[in-house]
Amino acid sequence: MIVSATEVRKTRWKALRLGGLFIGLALSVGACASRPPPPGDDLLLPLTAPAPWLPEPSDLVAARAAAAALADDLPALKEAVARLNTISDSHKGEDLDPLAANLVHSTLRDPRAYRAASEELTRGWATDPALDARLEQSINDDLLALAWRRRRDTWETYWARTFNAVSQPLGQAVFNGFIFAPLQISTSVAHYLASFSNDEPLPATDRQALVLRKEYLARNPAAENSEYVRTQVAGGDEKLAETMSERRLRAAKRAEAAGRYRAAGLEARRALFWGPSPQADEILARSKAKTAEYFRLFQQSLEAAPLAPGRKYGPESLALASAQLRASSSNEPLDPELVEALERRSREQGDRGGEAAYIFAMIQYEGGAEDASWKTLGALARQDPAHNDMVRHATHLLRDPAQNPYRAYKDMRASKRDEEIRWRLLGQYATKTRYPNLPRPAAIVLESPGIASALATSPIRMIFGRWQKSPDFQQLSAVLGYRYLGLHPQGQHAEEVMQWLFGYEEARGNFVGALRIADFLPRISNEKRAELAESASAQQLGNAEGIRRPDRRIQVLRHTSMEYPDNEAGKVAGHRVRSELEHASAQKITVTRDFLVENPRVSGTGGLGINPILINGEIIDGELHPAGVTLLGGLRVRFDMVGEDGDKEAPPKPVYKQISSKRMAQLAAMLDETTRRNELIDPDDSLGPDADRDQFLERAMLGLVDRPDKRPTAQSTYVYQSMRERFGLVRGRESILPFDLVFQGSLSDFSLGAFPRWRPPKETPDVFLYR
Amino acid sequence: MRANREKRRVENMATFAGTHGFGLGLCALLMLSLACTSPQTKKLEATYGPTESIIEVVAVLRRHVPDDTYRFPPATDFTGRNVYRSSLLRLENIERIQADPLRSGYMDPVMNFAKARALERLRAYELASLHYQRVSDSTGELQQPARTSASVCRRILDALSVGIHLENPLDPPARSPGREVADPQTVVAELEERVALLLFLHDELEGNYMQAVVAEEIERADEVRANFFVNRRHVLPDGALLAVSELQRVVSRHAASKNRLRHMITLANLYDDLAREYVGASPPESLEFDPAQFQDLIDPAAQLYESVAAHDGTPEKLEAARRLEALLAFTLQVDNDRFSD
Repeated sequence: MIVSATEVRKTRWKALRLGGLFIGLALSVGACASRPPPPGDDLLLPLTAPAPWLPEPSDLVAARAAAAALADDLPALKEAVARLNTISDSHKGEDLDPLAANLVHSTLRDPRAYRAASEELTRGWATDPALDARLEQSINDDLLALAWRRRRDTWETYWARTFNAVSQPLGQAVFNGFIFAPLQISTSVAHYLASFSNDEPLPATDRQALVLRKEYLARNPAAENSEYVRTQVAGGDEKLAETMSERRLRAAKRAEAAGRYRAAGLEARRALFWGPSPQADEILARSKAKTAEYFRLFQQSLEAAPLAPGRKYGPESLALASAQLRASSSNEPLDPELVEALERRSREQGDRGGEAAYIFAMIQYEGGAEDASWKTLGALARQDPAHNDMVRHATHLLRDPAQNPYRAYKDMRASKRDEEIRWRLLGQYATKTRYPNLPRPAAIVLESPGIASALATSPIRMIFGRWQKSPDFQQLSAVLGYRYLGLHPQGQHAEEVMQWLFGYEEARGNFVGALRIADFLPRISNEKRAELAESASAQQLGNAEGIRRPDRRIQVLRHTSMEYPDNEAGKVAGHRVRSELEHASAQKITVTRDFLVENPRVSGTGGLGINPILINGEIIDGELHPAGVTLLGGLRVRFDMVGEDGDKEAPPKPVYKQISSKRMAQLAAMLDETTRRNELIDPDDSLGPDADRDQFLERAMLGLVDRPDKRPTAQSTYVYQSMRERFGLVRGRESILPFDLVFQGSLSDFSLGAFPRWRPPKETPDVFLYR
Repeated sequence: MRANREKRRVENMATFAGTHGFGLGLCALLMLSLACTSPQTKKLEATYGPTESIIEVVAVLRRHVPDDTYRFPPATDFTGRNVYRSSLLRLENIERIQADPLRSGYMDPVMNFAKARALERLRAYELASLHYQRVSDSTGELQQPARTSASVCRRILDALSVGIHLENPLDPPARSPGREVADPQTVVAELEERVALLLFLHDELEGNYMQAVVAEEIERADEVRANFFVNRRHVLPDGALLAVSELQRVVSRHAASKNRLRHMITLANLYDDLAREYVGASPPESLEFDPAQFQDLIDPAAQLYESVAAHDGTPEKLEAARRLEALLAFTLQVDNDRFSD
């Protein structure tokens, strides 16, 4: 085909014109899109005038039925409901008949009859899902059935453990060959058997079942199956007593082993609360004997025993005691000659030397020679207490963390350093095994493959573990360090302790604490201090962000801005204070745009009555920003609009509006009704608890929010979100299979495995009340 | 020609099959989409009219009217709220949302009666009585029950007008100067009068659900009385003893109540407070400290906490267990030689 040059030009011109037209159109559309949001009055549709509405026969008969139900007039109720079933008029909704039937059932006194009737009602098609869900909940609210379910959970837990004990070694054997299978299976079986040592006679799920059965008996003492349930309860009570007694006994044994006899006795008494226990009796008897022995020794130590033959206190002793007593109420130093004599005498053996050494150590301590003092006391403490009464006093002073905090601090650091090394090497096996109720050697033997593996992989953990958060091992050392500084701010070791505390606080991200210590450290450079101040102010600003109450948040922000005026975070805090005050409102209850779209009853004229063009997704006619509408307290509402640039991601343009009390009341009522219905139909669509939100809405519904409640504790920041905003496009669902498929790789022995792992039953939310 | 005809026939058949297949597929798709969207449509559109909404709330409320709220905690709805409060709120919601239909008044007696039933369980007897009164002013089958219930509410109100009440510590009522030094005997006499009035009513209401409400008020009167002595134990002679005996009385008289564990904790708290006050007044290191007296206060507190902590499934269990720990931690402050257990 031959095309002439003219035709080509024509075609090009045509294309150019089309392109121009397209660009022109696009520009005009763009111009429309950048139109500002509509003025204030267009945000809401006017409230509709009351519409005439006359009750129809179905309404009147239903009212009679409701009245009969409330008046306990069963024949009249049944007659009204029967009549209702025959009526068909324009007001009668398809759900009125099942609702009326449920009304009849609600008069049944026997809960079992009510559940049976509700079950009957839920059968069939086209029942409202909300009614279905409500009835289902009533049907499930069967105490004995719930007790059975909890019991089944117990068995399922045992089954899951058994299943996993078999499936895991088999799955590993399939991948790694069957050579190691016997070893893996025998290890798994051993762990499976050992795991029963952790079980209590009555696990938490059985305790739940026990409580449910007790409640059943309390509510139905004369039920035909009450005798059977009573025997179940009696059996459960026995096991509960056994469980609790065992727990207390374990605690008593631990306390006894640690030498805390008073605590051991106390725990033994608690064990006896649950019934007779020879072991508890024995522990209690031993505890009493030990305590009595302690008191005997204590009394003995207070006895004024006669002096040993040949021993007497002369005038020099009286002079020394008097000098000491005089010095105790003043800062006068002791006579140097006396001190010299004491030092000489302290080198003697026996009581006389001990007393002198003790006093000499006190003098050293008060003179600022801390280390020398503890050295003297240390030498004294090493002597034989049978020949020197002062040894026990010296030992006590040395060991008491309140009186010798530096030594306690040093000891704790060393001990915690060891603990950390053990943890780095052995991981979870550093302090305990998984089977605390087995004899320790047996538990260690069982865990030995795991311990060996942990030891072998410790270098890997040390390399990669430094980016993970590890336990704060030195927290107790820090407490003792601060105690030392509190007692001896100018002490011999003050700088050393401060240096360590500075590093500790900095390492754990407590820059405020580090900065406080840095002020007392002479060798901190200005640059370092400035850097610390920056970090400390950022830390304080971060803390302020997490405070929910606006007044406290502003307080912390203001403090940050005043404490760190030259730092970046301090300046930000200052701006935030201003912003918080400028945008302060009594309430901040937000209803997002998507929520309004998803719940047209709330956005419609029966609720907020928002202009539908604002949520139709067309920027061109003005659009609500995804942030939606915020109730600010009183009757004030903020509409966050998409800005003039049409960018939904950009900050919204707020439009404030005062709405009528009637509109606020109907919005509050519709929000409450809609969210309840949504929650009933879809358990995922639950309304989070927020007492301030509920209080505001209840008051709004009654028209009592003309004056905003400005107390900071009354503010709610609840956000009503759509399901898509909460869960995204696809909601995560649990697998319908009762087990997960697990692919496992082990770095320690370079093995692979794939096996099904049975999921243990989910715990109920109230299980913490049964532990 | 024949070949062409055959070809056309095959094409027609294919078109026919294609068209019908497409139609069938479309039908199946439509049915599938209808089946899939049905619950969603239900969620959005199956909203109740005024009559259905009220019938639903009345059914829920009616089911829990006979509940014994003295012995068992009040039922909760699916949101976990007290069912009486929840029903009241829902009725208020319906009044706002269905304002136009309800203006005709066809449901007024039902609404007022149902609200009154909910209100009397929330101790709002005056409002309940008012709502019952409105119903009794109109004719209908609720008129007589409303009159009876209004009379019960008024009699409870009359009983409650005798004697003192628990005070809101954040908003204490204005009182006359003479009221501060209320004579304990007068207080006890007034509260006994209240309890007597309530007991008369309790006996009269044999078999009526309101017996539980009256029993709750009797329990509350006993709590008020005990609370009076607990709060004034520092100014009354033998105040501590009286306070302990009054709280013990509450525990023993209301052993069947749903609040029995709470009463036990209150008594244990008093022993705990007394122990702390004793240690404050007579420090263990001082010469006045008597280990036996201290033990007399610690033992019952620990036993009561232990008893409550043994009750699974209640929040009081946690509270008692933690308080017991706090008590034991407190005793650790007392030197070994001053406290042996």
